[in-house]
Amino acid sequence: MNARDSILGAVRQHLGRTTGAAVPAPPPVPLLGSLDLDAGARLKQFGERLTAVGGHLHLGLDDGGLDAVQQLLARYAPKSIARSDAPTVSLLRLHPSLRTLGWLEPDATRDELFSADLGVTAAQWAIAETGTLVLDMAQERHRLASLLPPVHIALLPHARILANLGEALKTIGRPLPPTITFVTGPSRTADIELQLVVGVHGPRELHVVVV
Amino acid sequence: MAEHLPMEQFPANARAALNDGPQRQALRAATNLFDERRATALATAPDWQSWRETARAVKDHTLLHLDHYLEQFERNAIARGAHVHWATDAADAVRILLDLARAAGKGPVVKSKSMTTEEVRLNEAFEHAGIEAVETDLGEWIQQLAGEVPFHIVVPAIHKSRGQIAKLFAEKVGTAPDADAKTLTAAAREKLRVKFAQAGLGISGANFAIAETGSLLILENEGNVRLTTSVVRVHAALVGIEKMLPRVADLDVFLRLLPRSGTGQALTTYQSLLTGPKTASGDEGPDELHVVLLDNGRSRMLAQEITRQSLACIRCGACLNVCPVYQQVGGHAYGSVYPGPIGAVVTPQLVPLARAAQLPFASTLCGACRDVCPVKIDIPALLLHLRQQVREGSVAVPAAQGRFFERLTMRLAAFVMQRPRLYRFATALARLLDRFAGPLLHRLPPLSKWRQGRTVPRLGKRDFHTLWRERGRK
Repeated sequence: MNARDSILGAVRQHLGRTTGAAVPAPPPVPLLGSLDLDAGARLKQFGERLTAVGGHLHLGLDDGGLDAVQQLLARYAPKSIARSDAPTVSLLRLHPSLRTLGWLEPDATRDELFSADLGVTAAQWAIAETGTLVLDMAQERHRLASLLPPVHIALLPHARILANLGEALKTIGRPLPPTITFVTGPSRTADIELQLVVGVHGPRELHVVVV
Repeated sequence: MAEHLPMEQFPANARAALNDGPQRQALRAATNLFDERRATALATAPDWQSWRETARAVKDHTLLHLDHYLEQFERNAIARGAHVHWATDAADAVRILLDLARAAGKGPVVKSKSMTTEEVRLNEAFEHAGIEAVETDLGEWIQQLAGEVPFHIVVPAIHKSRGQIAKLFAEKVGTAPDADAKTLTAAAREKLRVKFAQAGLGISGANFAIAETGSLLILENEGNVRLTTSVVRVHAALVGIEKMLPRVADLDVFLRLLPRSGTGQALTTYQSLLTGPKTASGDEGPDELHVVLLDNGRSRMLAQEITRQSLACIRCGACLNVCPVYQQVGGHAYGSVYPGPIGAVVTPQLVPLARAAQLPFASTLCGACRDVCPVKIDIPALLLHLRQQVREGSVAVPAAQGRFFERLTMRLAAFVMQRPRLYRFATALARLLDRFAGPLLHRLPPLSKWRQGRTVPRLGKRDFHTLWRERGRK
């Protein structure tokens, strides 16, 4: 008997079940957390929670985030900028004040991405309750640009801020893409004397620009 | 090579740990802080009790129909291009992962933190086979550099001071011997990035496996899970069969419970929801995804309701932090990858009971573990169940060697207590002996043994019966 049949056989034997026996519906999933927040309240809560976990919020509602991104790029002065293939990111990159910077292509090699100083991506959704970004890989190529550089700037459309996690789990695209990543603040560790250090394997700085 | 202390010798391990002052100090600071953080996180979760009940109901349902959900998971994972392997025991799991490492070709294997790989002793097997396997979680890497197994299931190096870690890094990594936490962390990032770039295989565990979509969900704070599962060509996840959940929607309640219980966070920094390998050659992510489903004693636990609940555990570590025994003796004394209260119930069910017979006794039965458990596992009831098995077990158990004398003593006590005159005589005699020969008797068996962990109280001048009679007269 192969391992699969022997494990399934043992499971059935110990549960007293027969192959293909009926399974009742799993317990209902109740709604958790609050849903009744208007757009303004969701943005406010998202900003508060993001800041609480060490992220930074910038408002770029009128100019597609141009001003905020200009300032951030001036501050970090990156030699090499990783970027995703999101249209909002491409648009920013082509702005006369930014186009001369060291942008990598969205399909840059892994080694190029490893040495990038900063990454710019969009985000598909956000969760107000926890200050979380939801990155859906089916929509954008941002798996590595959001992870490898020490600074991550994410452009978040203001209409995409959901109230809570349950809503996000319902909203994410089906069929599920190979990866959906939930990001709440910068990469962190407390493995040495429980002292918080940011930027251990992922970005040490996370900037969310709401557009 | 990282070795476990022998779990058969828990009392000796515990005594040694009690004499390790710096370790106890670090443990006390850490467990207190975690407990405070957990309490703060719960203060903002008014529906905590109903979340616990919802989560437990989902776990119970899933475990009761586990064969169905395993098959559903397998079907959906394969439909999305993943390879699903089955491992009945540790040897199976090790063989499958070794084969994958060899097939992945040159370069080291990078690992993100997984208790299940510790359970099957994967690092040891890789070392034997001459394959370099690098832990990439900072705490796990520290433990690997030190040649130790994890001390805590959430914070592996919780017992080490910064000074000790700085010294270790100075020797193995080349940082300054007085480097601070930030410098040490930066050094780890740099060293491990090189390993990530060279690696052919990334191995992770998984916190949850979703049957309806064939997905895995992994929580973390550092980003090494994201690296392990996206920059390496092949990703393999070792997953206990009890990790199944029916639906994506079930994650809501579990993602509320697990981080709050584990680290006091509302949500950890990253959750990766992984469904199959990349689909187009230009996409990001691994070319191959392998899921290894591990039994290793788990299916046995399904048979009885009391043992089945052990499989509801989501490995948050909250019961370790509140346990008065763990707080004093720490993780290594248990001699198992799963220490603390949950380890004391899981380990004896995973290994032959005779080996782990001491562990169910490593508890005061205070119930703190049951109170904090986010999935309401009745750990004290399980400990008692296992103690009963040890005592009544037909297997020759070292811990049961004193069984004859224990029974004799209990029978004698019952005989005396049923006879009031004899009882009064016996207690009067005990009082007399205590008064004139107490200190001497405390040094002789059986009291000398009992005294090892306790102070023997001196008996009062008058007994309870006398006091009660006097009270009645007033």
